Amino acid sequence: MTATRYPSLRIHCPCAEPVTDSQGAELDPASTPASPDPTAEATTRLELPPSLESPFALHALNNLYFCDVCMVLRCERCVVEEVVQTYCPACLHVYSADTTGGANEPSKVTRKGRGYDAVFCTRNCLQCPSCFTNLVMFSPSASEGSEVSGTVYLQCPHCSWDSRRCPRNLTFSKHWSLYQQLRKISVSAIEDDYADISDTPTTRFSALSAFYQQLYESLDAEEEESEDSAPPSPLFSKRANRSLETIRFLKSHYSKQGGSSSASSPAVTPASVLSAFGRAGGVSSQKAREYAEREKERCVEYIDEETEGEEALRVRGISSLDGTPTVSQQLANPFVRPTRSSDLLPLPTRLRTRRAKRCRACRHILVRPDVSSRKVSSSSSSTSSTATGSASTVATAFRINLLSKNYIPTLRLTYLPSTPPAPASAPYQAGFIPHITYTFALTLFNPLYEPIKITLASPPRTPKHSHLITFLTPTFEIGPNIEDDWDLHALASLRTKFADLKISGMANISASLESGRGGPNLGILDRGRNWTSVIFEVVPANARNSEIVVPLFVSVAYEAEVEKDFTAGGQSAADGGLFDKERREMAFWSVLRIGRVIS
Amino acid sequence: MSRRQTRGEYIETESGNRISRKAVILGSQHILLGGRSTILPECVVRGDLHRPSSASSTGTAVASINIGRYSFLEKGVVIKPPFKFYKGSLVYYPLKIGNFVSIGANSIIEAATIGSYVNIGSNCVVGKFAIIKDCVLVLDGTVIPSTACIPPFAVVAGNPAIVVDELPESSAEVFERRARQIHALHGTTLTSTRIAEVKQSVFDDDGDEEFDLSHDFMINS
Repeated sequence: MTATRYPSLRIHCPCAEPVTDSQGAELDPASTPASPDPTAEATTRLELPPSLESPFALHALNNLYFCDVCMVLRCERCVVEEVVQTYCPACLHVYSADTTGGANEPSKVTRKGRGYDAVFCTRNCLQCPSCFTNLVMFSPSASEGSEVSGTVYLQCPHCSWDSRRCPRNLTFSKHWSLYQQLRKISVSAIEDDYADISDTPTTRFSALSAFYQQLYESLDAEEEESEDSAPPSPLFSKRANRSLETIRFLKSHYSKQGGSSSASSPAVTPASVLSAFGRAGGVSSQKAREYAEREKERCVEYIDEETEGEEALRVRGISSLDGTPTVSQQLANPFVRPTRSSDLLPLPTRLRTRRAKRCRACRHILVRPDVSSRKVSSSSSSTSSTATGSASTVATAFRINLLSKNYIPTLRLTYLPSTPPAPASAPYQAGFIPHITYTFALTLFNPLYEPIKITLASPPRTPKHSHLITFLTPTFEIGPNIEDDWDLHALASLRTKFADLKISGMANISASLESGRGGPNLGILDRGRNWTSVIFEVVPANARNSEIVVPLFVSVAYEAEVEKDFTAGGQSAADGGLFDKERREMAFWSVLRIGRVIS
Repeated sequence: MSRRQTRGEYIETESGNRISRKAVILGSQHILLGGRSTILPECVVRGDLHRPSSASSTGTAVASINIGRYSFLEKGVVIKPPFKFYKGSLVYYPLKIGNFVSIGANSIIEAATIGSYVNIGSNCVVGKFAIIKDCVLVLDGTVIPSTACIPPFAVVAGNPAIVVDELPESSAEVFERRARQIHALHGTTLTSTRIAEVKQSVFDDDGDEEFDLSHDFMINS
């Protein structure tokens, strides 16, 4: 799962490519940029997409979707999401559900609560402010094990945070709708915090806006005096040279104030700073020191015990960070902005969503969670105490789920050692030595019920460090996936086959490959019912510590059976059965990161 | 120790469960295995910790641990039903694990319910009465607190566990395929306990990494 693990195999999603074809004409959104004619591309000219090296365009096969209308891969970035259901992750209560059943109607989500409340669980789900675990209700009166009722308090099962240890002795008078009770408490907490301070956020803001209003007006007045031709403009105009004027103005403004500042405005004003340091470096260090000391005294005086209250005194007294909340704890409590860990209030639980996903080009639904059915994809019936009745808990089934792994072949890479004393492991981690031929088997599994024709293409040398790549068989066929159990037996037999190869060595295998069959089967290592293993070789170039990244173009062609359209054509059902053959093609780029070169 | 012992290192039941002889299975009449599950050596499964059957007049054994099909308990996993005090006495509650669940080495499970398609990493702790829904990936070393609830399609990590990522919709199929593959491959190398190698040969050798996970998430430590 780590980023640097080799080998890694990623599929390229072309959604980052510009939406133009080779002639530069804008494409119709219905015919997507992702599906160029695959055979033409492969046979004529191999053009690497520019975003092939970009990590954001490369995905694991399991993270991709497939639009079976456009016949292209779709990644997280090129699908449109629609919220189908919102639920609480703690109690799994469903808050809103898409009630429309049709696949192509826009979803109508009914939502309970509004505004701020709509994103939180409004039942009893509160999170520990210290470690973000779900809090558990306890009743001080009830004995162990009996039902919680009456006045309750909250406790964290992980870090033993206790709501009674809050300075407000946080207890809840009812054991239901704790969220609403908490909201009342936190509102009063905010009011309490500012009760002893004359300088609330609102008064502070109005004072600031009044100041700037005044500044703006006086600037305008000065502007009109100095140059009448200039139009009146806001304080921070678009023109850059205006900022210089602004600074000049501010300077004069503050210097005017400076004389009387000592009594009325105790804050450090820019004027005082300017008067001390601003005069072209002509200030002696003695004078600066005097100034600094004077300012320090004034700053200390500024914390007025009567107006600022104990909070300011406490902040002044802080000598270590013990007992102060971490940044994530503070950010989770934005309204209270606690400076003490004991001031933290429980957090409401944010709702999670289940989302439907549509193709961005054709709006075809790719994923649609099943919200109507209560049948969970497994038989796990919840025996929990928190997950209440089955009717309103979240399910995990899907009604539509077009995953790319069911449409495009799965690729697997296996290292084949060339000499009989096989090394213990493939040289993925140990590194590759330049100018030595390494042989790999690339196995493709067909997930479709039709036989497919594969065309592989890769540049003869990797684009970055020109490591040599040779695919012995660019074109081959894979049989149909009939029984859909390839995952078990095919893989197990493949494993033993490759294990044998590792023992006997590649030398005799390649000899038999070249002498025996030849022709179209050259380079095909082995094949099963719905998989084929082909050989490719990599010769690393002498580029120290360079990564071997193989771009591989995979084009898939098959004939799908589609139901005959009897209304349009005059054909009867008697000749040729119910199905027509339709040729389908799709293609994608993949990136094989094999390892690093050592030298 | 002796060469003879390797012959029957695993007991294979009729429904295809493979249980290591070196695993500690207590109260087996209270344990239900769905079939094709594998229990590796040094695992501890405490079926003996069950609700007292004297309370129920039927007298039939109550399943205290229920494990679904294709589950895979790696070396040193401890499965223990959760308990709490009820009316002054200690009462154990049943523990249910769904299908296609894999639990990594040395993890301790005291959950109430673990859904299907759940992958738990190694050295994890799942606290008492925790609920893990379907399609959840628990990364290595995660501590899930007691009574916690992990929503479906979540990736959790950290101590305490927080949801760090979301799994794609394919995860149920991927976990199912993975569980079936491990079962099939473990069968071919049944005599050995080199399960790490088996797992490695399933996944690491062929570059088929399962999912893209974002790595820049923040984990509480």
